[in-house]
Formats: sequence, structure tokens, C-alpha cells
Amino acid sequence: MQIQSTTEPKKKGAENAEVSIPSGLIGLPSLTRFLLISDPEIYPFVILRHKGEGEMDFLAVDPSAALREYNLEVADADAEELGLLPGGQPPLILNIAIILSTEPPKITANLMAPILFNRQTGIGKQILLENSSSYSAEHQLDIQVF
Amino acid sequence: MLTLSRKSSETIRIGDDICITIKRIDSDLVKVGIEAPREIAIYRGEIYEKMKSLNLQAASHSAGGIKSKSLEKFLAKLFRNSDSSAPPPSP
Repeated sequence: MQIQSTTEPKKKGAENAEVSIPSGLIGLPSLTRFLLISDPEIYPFVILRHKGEGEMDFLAVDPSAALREYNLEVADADAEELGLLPGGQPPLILNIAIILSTEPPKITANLMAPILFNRQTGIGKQILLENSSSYSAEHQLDIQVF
Repeated sequence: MLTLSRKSSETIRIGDDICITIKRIDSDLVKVGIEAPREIAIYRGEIYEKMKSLNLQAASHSAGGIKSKSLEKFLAKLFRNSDSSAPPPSP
């Protein structure tokens, strides 16, 4: 199933949403419950705060702010698992980001394996794209653009 | 690790639900078919390790000594320092 990344509407204030990733992150299957912290002050970044033993924060980014075109080829099984239907409500797409350095700020995003959330159920999955070889796992974000 | 030798078109069963078939053997390349329940994710090994490694890196935020509570402060500072005359992204 093909999915396009579209720009998220900018939120008015900070919003927190409880989301779940039942399969966990790739390689980290126990991390399933998160608080999605969206704050317009830090857009296009959001924070995925893992709830549970050992609270930890994951930085994630809305890829539409980083790339003009991000075409996601998602396996049908993955789309079905999340309840994403062609022509239905598009999923929330986030990419896990890593801060390489703070001075100067260098942040990379994993474009090969985005996290897709069904907006209605709040259930998500980190999915290795079928076309993952078209993208970098360590895509350097151009901070100036934000 | 269990090591088995298989010829082309022979199979390996893992539990009751997973079946591996050797599809083709070339001198330095093996084509492997995998049948498994759809809830079991299948990755090339090096890709799995790369994704896992990046996820782990993202959690620790060891670069610059950033800990969980400082993350929001770092990001807020990042945006205060960036060019405020740049137009915001269009909705």
C-alpha cells in the first residue's frame, strides 16, 4: 500500500496522547506504551515518552517538515494490521530521530522504518518500508529549514 | 546454534508455523523462502541490527549528555536560536 507523507496541521498548544505500539520498536519489543507529546514550540519534533519500567524519551520527527516527498510503500499485512485502508484516514507518520551533537545541532532521522499510527485507535507500528532502500536510516535533518 | 545442511528445494520447519525453503543456490548467493504467520516480522539480519541499534541510540541520547528531562529544553533552545524570520511551514 502506498502512503504519502502530508504536512501535519500545526497545533495550537501542547497536546499529549496515549498511544501504543503493540509490537514494540524494532529490536525493543517490550516498549509498547507511550505518551505522544506534541508541542508547537518544538514542531516538527515530538517526544515519544515510554511509560513503564524505566521511563525514557524518544525523539521523533514529522517527516513532512524534513522532506518534500516521502513515499511510503507499506506491506499490505502491516497496513491491514493497523486498520489502514486505501482512501481512508491517513496515518500519523513519525520517524525516530537521533541527536548526534548539540553544538552544532546535528540530528538524523530513520527514514527506512517510520512509525505509523492509526489516528482513531492510537495503535502504531514501526514498519520497515518495502522501499526502504530508497531512504537513509540516518538522514541528516536540515535544522535551518524548520 | 543449530546448523543443518540442505539442498536446493529442501525445507526446514521451525515450530509448527514456520517453514524455510531453500529456493536456489548459486556460488555465493542463496535464495531462501520463508513462510511464517504474519505477526512474526522477518528482516535481513544486518537491517534488524541497524534498526535496533538506532532505536537504542535514540533512547539513550548520549550525545551531548542529553537526558530525558533536558530534551524539551534542548529543542526549545534549538528553535529560539534558529532564524525566526524564516516562514513557518505551510499547513
